[in-house]
Amino acid sequence: MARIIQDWVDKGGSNLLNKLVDSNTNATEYRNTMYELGVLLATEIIKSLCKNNKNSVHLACTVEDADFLGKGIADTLDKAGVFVALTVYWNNTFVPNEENKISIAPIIKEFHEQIYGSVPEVLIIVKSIISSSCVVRTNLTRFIEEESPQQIYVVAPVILSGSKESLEKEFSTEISNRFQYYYLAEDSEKTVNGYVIPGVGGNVYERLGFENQNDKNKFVPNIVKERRNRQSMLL
Amino acid sequence: MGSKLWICFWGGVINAKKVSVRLGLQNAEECLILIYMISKGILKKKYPNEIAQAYFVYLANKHRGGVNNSKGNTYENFYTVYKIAQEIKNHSKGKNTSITSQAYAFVDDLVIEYDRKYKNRRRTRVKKSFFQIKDVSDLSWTSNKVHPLYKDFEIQYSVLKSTNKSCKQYLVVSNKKLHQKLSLSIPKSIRNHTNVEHFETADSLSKLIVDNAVIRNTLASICALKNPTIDKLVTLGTIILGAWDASNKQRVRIADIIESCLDMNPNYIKGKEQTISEELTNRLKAIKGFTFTVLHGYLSWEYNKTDKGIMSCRIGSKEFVQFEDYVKEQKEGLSFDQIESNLI
Repeated sequence: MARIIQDWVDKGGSNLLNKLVDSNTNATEYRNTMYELGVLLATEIIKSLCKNNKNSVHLACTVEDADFLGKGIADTLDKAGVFVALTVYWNNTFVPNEENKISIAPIIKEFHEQIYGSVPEVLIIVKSIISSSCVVRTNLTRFIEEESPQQIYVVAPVILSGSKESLEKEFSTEISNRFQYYYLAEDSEKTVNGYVIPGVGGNVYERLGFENQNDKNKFVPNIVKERRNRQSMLL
Repeated sequence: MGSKLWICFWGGVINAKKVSVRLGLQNAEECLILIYMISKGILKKKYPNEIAQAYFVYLANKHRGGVNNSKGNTYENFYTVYKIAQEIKNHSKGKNTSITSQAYAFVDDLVIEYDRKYKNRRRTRVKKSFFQIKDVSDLSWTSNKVHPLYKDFEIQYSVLKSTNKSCKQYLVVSNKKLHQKLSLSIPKSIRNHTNVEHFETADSLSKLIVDNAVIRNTLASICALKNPTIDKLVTLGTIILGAWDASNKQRVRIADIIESCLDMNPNYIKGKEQTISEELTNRLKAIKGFTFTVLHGYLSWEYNKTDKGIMSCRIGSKEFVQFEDYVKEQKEGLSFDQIESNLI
């Protein structure tokens, strides 16, 4: 089945998706494209926030997405006057048994921006692509252990067909009923190696310029350093 | 793990390879035939010929059906992970406790042979538990007129007792109302040696660990971390399931499962208490805003109120030694920024 592009996506959005998939796009261009996709997604999210009279959010993302897709969303919300409290997770994804192929993504490190004052009721959980939902499920479960968001926006440039249902099955109806999805495209095919086609153009770590998962986990996003400095000035 | 071919059946266990060599049998299939013959013999000692033959045919068909269905049985696998975790917790009491799936037995879904050392006894006494595991919404002890469910428990206990072996038997169900109904209606003939247990199920192991406090608390009790978060318990449970799925599921020693789990990185299994060197301790303590804990083989840390983590590598591993060497090489006045990338 061919890719399904969401109705709200204009030509600019389609071009950004095509740039991700283009193998000639280098790491710097890829990062910028992810940032622009974050801006586009945030523009849609702002409409919902205004409608529901919400002016503060938690934004949770993975380390590889923080400075690009995540920052695009954070900067756009910030400009619109929405307070953004950032959470970043470093996941170590692996498959313990090749026979049952169950994937896990334990969190080896996490950053949480401290909130002084009222706690945001909206969580925006971001991922560059939602395929098996293993990482989103892990990070969302972790977040819910600490907080109780009333609305959960699940955000990605691309999702794999069936991943919404897979994700919802992992949570009680009480939680999954809070989900709203924001994405540009839905794909339905995967390669034998598990990469969505056309997806985000293959292995997202490599496309973003990381050598591998270990390299990605050593990375400290600039947005994390900025937010840490901001926190230390408040103390 | 799994290089020996053990076949666990209600009369005991057979090392299929050894028996095959001694009796000149060609393969495991012929060995199974031997077990059929032994079982038939045991049944004939206890029951009249015709009844023994009927029970024997029932047993053979039950075993064949069980083996065919077991691969897809998620509920059985989830319960097995729970029991393995329980036995990992008890591991210090006996190194040779083993687990079998689809044993050749009347109550056959899971068999645990316990290796428990008792005080003031020179030799170890081994006991067995047999489990029938059902993820159904309705069941009855007596409704099947041809071979009611309770008969499996009755025959098995009766024959084992007549060969001076004892055991405990459990019917495990996922439905809470069904558990109540079956508990209140256990037939008198099996009441002394059979219990009904409720174990909740879920669509996935991760959801199970969130919803089922019994497996969650059992995994937490064998986890290296204090107050482990769900993702760590899911990691531990999935690694145990992976080790089980990789085995031949016949008389698998808990010790071997633990060994398989320890090959994974991270695994979060509670290990021996280890300390880190005084030099490393002092260097880490001197980092402003940084605190850390060393517990059961893992180093957990926090930085101010914003950051926390757990190093994936165990203390004493090659990777941890590399981290330690890196820290020691840095000049005095170490900051968090300098070590952050290595705290993985």
